[in-house]
Amino acid sequence: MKRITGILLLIPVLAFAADNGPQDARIWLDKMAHAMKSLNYEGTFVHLQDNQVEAMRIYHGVDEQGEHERLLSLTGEAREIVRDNDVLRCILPDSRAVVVEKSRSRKYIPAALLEIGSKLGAFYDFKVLGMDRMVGMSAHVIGVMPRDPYRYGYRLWLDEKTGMLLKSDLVNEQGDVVEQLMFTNLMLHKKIPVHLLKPAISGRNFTWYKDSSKPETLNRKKEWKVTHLPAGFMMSMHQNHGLPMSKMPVEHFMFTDGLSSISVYIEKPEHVKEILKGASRMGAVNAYGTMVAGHQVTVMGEVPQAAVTMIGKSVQYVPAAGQRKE
Amino acid sequence: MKEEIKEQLSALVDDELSGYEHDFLLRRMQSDAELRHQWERYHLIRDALHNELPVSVDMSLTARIMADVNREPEREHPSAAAGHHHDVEYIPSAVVRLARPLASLATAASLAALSLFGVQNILQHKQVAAPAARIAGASAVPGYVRASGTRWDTARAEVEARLTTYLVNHNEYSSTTNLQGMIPYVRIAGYDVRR
Repeated sequence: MKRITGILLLIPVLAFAADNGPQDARIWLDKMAHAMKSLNYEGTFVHLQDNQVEAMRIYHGVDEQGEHERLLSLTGEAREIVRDNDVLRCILPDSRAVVVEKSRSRKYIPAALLEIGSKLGAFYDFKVLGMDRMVGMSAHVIGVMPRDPYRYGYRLWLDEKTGMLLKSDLVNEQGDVVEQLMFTNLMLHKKIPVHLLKPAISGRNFTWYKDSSKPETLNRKKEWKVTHLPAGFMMSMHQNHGLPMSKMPVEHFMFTDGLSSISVYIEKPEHVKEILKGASRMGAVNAYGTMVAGHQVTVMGEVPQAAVTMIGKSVQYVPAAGQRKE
Repeated sequence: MKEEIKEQLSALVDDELSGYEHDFLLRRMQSDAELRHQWERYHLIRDALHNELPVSVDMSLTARIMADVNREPEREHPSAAAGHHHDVEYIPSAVVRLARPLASLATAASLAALSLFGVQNILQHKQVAAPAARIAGASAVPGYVRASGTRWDTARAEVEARLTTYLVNHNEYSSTTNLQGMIPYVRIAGYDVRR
């Protein structure tokens, strides 16, 4: 990272741009999004977190039918994930199973979306940080730095020619990198051969599982309120889930500022001896647990501890009488 | 009650429930989509653990369940429901557009993770005999040693297991808005397959 700051101001390629840093950075991020969706590429990337390194291979192709993607784990069990548009096939050689699922999270994109406007800019500082070399390519380095201590920042290395993501850093409130993802090899092609987008394992003798369940729509007889959120966070989801360790459905709120997500899980513990009280952490993910009105409240997200603690301490139980009209 | 349900689920997986209990649990599943969903996964996981997936999946039972599923009226679409009761603003579309290409990876990942985490959770949940050996056999390459250390910075197994369950769920739903959509995937994969 240090070598970048040295060349921060030497960016002739951007000199012609009429707008200043934030706009350029946003344009580059748009370009990245487009590149990752529309280009045909194959590459290997590594992921670093704490002292762990994992390697994965990705193939991404686009044709008349849409997007096709294949992810291959290069470390540990050789799991494969193949995506054709929003249909996912997860091949688990260890279980001799193929699990088919429609991409779940996309269902939750609210239909009536607003344009981004300058909103995100109020909470993140978008900057073009300079140029660097990555995977043998010339790359623009884009910074998305939080303006408060309640979210992480990002540094993204994008291919100068295509905008393709080459490396990304997740940066904590102290400026330390908490997670890294980096391509070590990336090739763009006119077309990805079809066989490379198909799993190496046919799955013919495997058992196939299709996910037909739908998450429970919330039947609200009571109301929980999160009274304090870091600025810019909005609720994006509110549902009940059945979770493996919980007999009763777990109430789940999700909040996002557009880049980071925070979940609040609320459940009534039965036969639970130990619950999380206070803070916990796993890599970049922070959690905070507390008891409210006989329920266990757990806040979790890839945000700094301050954010989950703030939310956790603000959760209130509001009896049904005060409930607004459904 | 919790133990009872666990036992019943287990018995149902083995198709060993009495007629009454069997009907009770099926009825319960009819009204509880997530329980059904979990049961499907339990089934998969359990069979995987016993190395019996190709031969012993009780298709007739699955078919019965699926018939129940099909009889049930479509539930309200979650995204439609999400709009009702909250004075919240929604995520700007440009952000979604930005995040979506990356998100697919994360979503895919959560799926893989669910299956794998499921194994862990079930083991803690049901105390299958010799879990370590089972797991090693089920999900690791030969000579691979599963780390025993915790990743959550808590020494309490029950707390850790619960946090992990939440994390899998969180990742499954958060990928749409995560700029580093690939990260949840590898984060989860790394958790399970660490050296």
